[in-house]
Amino acid sequence: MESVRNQRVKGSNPFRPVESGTSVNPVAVKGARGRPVTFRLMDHMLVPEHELLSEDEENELLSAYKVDKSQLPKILRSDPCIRALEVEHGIIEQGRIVRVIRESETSGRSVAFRVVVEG
Amino acid sequence: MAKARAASRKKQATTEGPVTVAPKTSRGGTKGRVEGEFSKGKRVTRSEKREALMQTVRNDVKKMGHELPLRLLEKLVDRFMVVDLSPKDYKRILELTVSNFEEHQIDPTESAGILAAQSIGEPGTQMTMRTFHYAGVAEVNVTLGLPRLIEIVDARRQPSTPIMEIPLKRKYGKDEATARRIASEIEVTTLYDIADIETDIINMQVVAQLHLDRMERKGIKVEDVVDALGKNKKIKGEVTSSKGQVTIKSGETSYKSLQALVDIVRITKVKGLLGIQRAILRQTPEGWIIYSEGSNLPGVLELEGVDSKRVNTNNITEIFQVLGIEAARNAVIFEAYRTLSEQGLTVDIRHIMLIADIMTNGGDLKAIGRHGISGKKSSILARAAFEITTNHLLKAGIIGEIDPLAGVAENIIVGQPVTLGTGAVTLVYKPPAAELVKKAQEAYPPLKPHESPLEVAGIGGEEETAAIGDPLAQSE
Repeated sequence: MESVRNQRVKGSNPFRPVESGTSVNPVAVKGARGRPVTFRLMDHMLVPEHELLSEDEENELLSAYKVDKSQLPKILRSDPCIRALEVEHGIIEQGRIVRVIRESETSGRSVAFRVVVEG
Repeated sequence: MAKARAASRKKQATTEGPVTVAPKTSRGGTKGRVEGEFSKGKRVTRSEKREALMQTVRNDVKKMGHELPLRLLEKLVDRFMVVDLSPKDYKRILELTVSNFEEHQIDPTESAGILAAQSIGEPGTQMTMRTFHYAGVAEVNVTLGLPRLIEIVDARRQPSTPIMEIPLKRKYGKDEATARRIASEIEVTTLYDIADIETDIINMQVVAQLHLDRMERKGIKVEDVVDALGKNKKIKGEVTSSKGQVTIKSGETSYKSLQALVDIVRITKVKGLLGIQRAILRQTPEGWIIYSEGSNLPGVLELEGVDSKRVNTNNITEIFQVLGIEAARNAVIFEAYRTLSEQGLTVDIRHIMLIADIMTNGGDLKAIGRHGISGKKSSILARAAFEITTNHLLKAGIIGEIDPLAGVAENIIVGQPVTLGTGAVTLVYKPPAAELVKKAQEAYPPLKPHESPLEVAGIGGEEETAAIGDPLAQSE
């Protein structure tokens, strides 16, 4: 399992092997008392790793699947995971694509893509 | 043979010392272990070996022009680690795995959604109607069975019995006293729980006689009580304390407002997180775990001592709001699967995953049913076929909706083949250019009318050719 994680292939490849989540993106989960807590959202057992795709990767993905962005599953801009990515990448406009690396019951690990939409 | 295998397995397990592994196994030799690639003379641990082997197998599958999921690769590698194979067998195993895997993949335009609906619906009929179960803890009861399943697919904002599972960090989960302290931070304590509340009509004030022993157990100080009452915006009068007594003056003079004040004071939250009625401790091998009746995910995540990575709630909407759509998808899968298997029903998880994918496709949690997915279908006929037929038809008629007949339901209604399987593809025949036709005719001259294709190919006897080749011969 780790072998995939440790390999990082540089360049524009949306299907590149999964890298380990070393980057820290603490997210202020707004607590009940308004006190922000730093807690890495994607460390939670229910939250899979999200990664932002570069423009080259987006194009390659869309041409590989022969789809346009409206056909991909969506993720809201207000989604906590997008907020978490914004800590690292700055403001994420709608239309960007995120790569979701899911721990899958059936296949071990599966990769899904979601396009950021307004909301 | 078995002995040799056991010996080699033993050798595998004790490869801590410097071991030289064959620099490269091109799998050209005789029978032996399949191995990954290493640089010569490097110390190799078992896990590194496994990793390298994984890479080799992955690359070999890729060379064959295929791809296998991680879980399958892991299974293969685990076997390759302990079994001697000839290169030929190794190749054959990969080939068989790939071809079997591809055979079992679902076909394009297979009606996966209908299969999922049936596969969850049928076991659903066998579910107990009203089930309450105690989730391991004697006091917490949870809605399970059919009502819970309906709750999940309806994407209710609030489940009928919200509960949370709150594991503690190792340092905090060791002893009961610490766990109890954290539990008291979670559980809502109202003034009524720690004090006797009396109405003083003569002085127009409310007096709370504090139970200091109860307060101590919950770790509440008198100042906390005064603080909590002062923060309550509904209380306008002055709050003072003396000798285990807290006095709240009514700002107004009417008797009615004094009565209202008593009710407000009584339910004023002194400690705890909003929405959590009870917190119960339970001991596990890994330490103490807190179960709570009621759910407040953001509040619990912020608490010190709580293992925020493993906190879970059965309120899926809350998970969506706090942890995002992908977490909500996981929660739907987990909750639905648990509800079904708790009743002894085995539903393939892929069906549930499909449901979860549909519910979360739009970036937010959508319910299955009239208010969610089925109500948002683009086809008017499909919507009318589902529920509230006349309303849909009337509305569509008023605004002049057009139905492109792209789905299944609408094609059944109009009596056309459905758009599934072979019905989904439209074959387009592109006639070849004229000279190509001519060339083909020269190479394969057209059969003379009396000549049957089977005869030309030299197959079949006279009787058969007569029957197949010339339908007119029979009708005579």
